[in-house]
Amino acid sequence: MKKALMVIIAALALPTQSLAADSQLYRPKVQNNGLDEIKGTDVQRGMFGAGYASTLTTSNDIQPGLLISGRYFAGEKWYLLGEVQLGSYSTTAIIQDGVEVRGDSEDALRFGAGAGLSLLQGNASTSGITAVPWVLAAELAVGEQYSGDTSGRYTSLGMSLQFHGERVWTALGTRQFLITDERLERLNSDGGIQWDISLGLWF
Amino acid sequence: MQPRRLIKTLLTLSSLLLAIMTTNTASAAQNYIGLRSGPAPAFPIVFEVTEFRELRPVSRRGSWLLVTDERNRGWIHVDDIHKIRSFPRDEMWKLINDARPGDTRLEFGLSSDEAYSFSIIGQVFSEKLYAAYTRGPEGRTSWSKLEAGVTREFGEIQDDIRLHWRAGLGYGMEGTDSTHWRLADDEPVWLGAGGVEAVWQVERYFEIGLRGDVSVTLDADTTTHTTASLVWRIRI
Repeated sequence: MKKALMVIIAALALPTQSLAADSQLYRPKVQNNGLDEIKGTDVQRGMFGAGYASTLTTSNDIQPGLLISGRYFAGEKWYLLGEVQLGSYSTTAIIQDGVEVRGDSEDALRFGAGAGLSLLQGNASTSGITAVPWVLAAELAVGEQYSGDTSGRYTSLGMSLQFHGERVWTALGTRQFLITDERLERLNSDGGIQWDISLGLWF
Repeated sequence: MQPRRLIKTLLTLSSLLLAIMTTNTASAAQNYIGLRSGPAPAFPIVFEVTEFRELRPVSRRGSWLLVTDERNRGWIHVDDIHKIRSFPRDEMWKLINDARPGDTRLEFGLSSDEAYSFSIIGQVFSEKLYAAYTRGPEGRTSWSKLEAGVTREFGEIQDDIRLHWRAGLGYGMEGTDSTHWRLADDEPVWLGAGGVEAVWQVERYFEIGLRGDVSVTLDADTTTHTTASLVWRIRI
């Protein structure tokens, strides 16, 4: 009986002993020499801006739009690109076999994401005293475009010429695009070119 | 020549030589640091400062620091700021520490089956986990999948090209006329997913990868899809 009691007491004491041993383990706190307490420098993570875009789709008129774009720096040459464009798609109706296949006031909403690569980087100056850095970048974007009641995959490849001021930046862009929308393919309106001008801030 | 006159001449010459040597040493010790117009080595140097010039940091972009002496501004790489003697050492270490890329990666991918994907890869305890959303072509035959799993490095081709495998569980969805995942109906389906990738570290924060993926539906059909993807990753 006494033996059994001893075994039970020993069994109950085991987890406690284990916890006690665990709490005695030396776990030093990682030191960072107070670096976290030093006031950090402002960080520029990317560019955010808005602009005017002019789109010329095949078999269609030039259409205006609002382009909102963001670029997140991924290195010295690369950046990630995100953009949303809202604009007019059609101002002329197309009727085929008595059916309206394109309305006379269709809007287009497009969003895309992709990457940009700085091909050339340099300095622009007219006075020789002040200089503005510029970047010529190639940009690839993939996304979706919604126009009328249909939508399709949007793919674009273009160039962007950016002038980087201290507080603001401005960019001129041009691109070639393709849309895999069956309705637009039937209208032969599934591709085109676009040019845009944007102004923005750093964030 | 008299000995006294000879000593005098020798002393004069020695003083002159010492003066010249001291001047040369002083000018050689004067190091100049070039500051660039933009945050990359391709941007030209717009002005130079001596290592003793008082410079103040304005902002940081990646591994580059915009500094000013209150008259001019220019960019310098964080690896070079130790050359500026006026720069506080603790601030310098803070900047170098902050410029280190993190373990979390954001990924954008394009695949051979006309799909695009967004992923996040991060360290959770000792495992590297990923979560991805992939979307196929738009329309009635559209499809998409959500996927999560574990990824690990298993080799390297060169120092900057690493090989990884990944394995996970997915959830596939499709449009009304789509037969991408299921032939009989359009109900969502669970997927088993895996892949192998080669990732090239292009820049400090940026990686490009090529990945081969396989996904299998976990139902009676066991529909299998094999794709190749080009992926872009940033480390944050």
